[in-house]
Amino acid sequence: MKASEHLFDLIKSLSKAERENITSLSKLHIKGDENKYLVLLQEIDKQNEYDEKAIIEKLGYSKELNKFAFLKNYTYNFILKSLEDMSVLPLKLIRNKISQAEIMLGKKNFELAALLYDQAIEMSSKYQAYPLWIEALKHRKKIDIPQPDKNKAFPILRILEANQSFFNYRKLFIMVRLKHHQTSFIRNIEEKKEFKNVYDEELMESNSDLNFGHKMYFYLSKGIVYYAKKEYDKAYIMGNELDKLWNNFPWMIETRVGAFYNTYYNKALIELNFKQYKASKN
Amino acid sequence: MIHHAQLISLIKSLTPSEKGYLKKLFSVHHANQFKHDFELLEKEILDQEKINNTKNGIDYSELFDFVLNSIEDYHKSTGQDARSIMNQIEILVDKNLYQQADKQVNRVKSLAVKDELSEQLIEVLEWEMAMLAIKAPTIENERKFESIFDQINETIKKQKDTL
Repeated sequence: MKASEHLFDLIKSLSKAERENITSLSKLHIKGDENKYLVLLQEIDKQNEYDEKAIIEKLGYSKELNKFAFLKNYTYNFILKSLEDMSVLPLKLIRNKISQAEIMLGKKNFELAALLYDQAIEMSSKYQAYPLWIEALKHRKKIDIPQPDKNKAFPILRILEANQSFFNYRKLFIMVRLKHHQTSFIRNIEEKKEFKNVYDEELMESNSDLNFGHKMYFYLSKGIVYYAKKEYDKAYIMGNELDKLWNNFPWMIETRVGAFYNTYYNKALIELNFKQYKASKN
Repeated sequence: MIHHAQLISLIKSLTPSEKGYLKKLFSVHHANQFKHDFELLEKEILDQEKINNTKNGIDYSELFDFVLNSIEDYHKSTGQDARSIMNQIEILVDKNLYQQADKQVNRVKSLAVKDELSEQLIEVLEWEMAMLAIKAPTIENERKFESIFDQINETIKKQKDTL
């Protein structure tokens, strides 16, 4: 896909509610009779395949290609900004709280800054969003207003360590996904350093509330390995462990960080294959 | 829950231009109730003695969030920009627009490196990793994963050192 088609794809991905929000927000920026980027958005939306030449001609930019490029860029950013305003994804809401707290600090309104950081800390701990959690805690510490007790449960160092060990599980999962089809890799994988390391850490983390991601990637990695080794009953146990984990943290699906999508996909895959395995035995 | 006094404190801290922008947004979003409540609170602030403390049982969270979300656009810092682009990455990935998301990843990464925003750097590296995981499992991509993990470890080490 060419970079020039990014705007086209973005426009085509918009829902009705998103389009309405963009139209509402564009009223803030009307100069003259019409809003140029709204016109561009509507023209692109009419096309089934992106034809930039036709749009340039229709909107009269043939001799002002730079202006057209600027308009396109502006429109793209405006759409993204309005999508951001509408979004209720939890991590976005935490980031907003941190940014707003920063603004309140700038206004020397320390009480509200503290309140917003406290809300960000509470949400980050719920979603185990380590970097956001650390960021909010670091700034909150500088405000001379007592923190609520529930937000003091985990010191920054503890969260940093949880974040660091989380990446070992993330790494294991990536490694397993990349190489699970290689027989030589799979054969003795449980004896390998990477697998043993994370297993020890997993035990260390098992009594805390900070290890959702650790466990998720661990069960996924093991599930894939067992499946690749055709040890389907073991793979199924890992699928069940994942299921239990999701039942304990049902709100985590809202976080939508990259491979979180893959979690359900992989679990479904493991279960499906187990069903086939079971059927073949009967 | 946001109390009356907290909302009053927020409104008092707004500049005239922030208030002007906010009023524009009330009309754009047809937020007539918010507009009405906001104007009442402004009047209360003008006449300090009349600040109605009996309203402390009411939850003002929605108006509070509306005001804060609106003034966010008015203030720019590298940290805010990076957080905003990070939000956009999440939205673009949600729409399966990976190339566009990739572009935003690079933008945040350079902001985070330039201004030494370690938390944002960790976050964006995780996104970079997630996007790389969608691509074909080549040796080159494996090397890229290794390099991302090295950057993450290095950044966390720095974070620990600064504690």
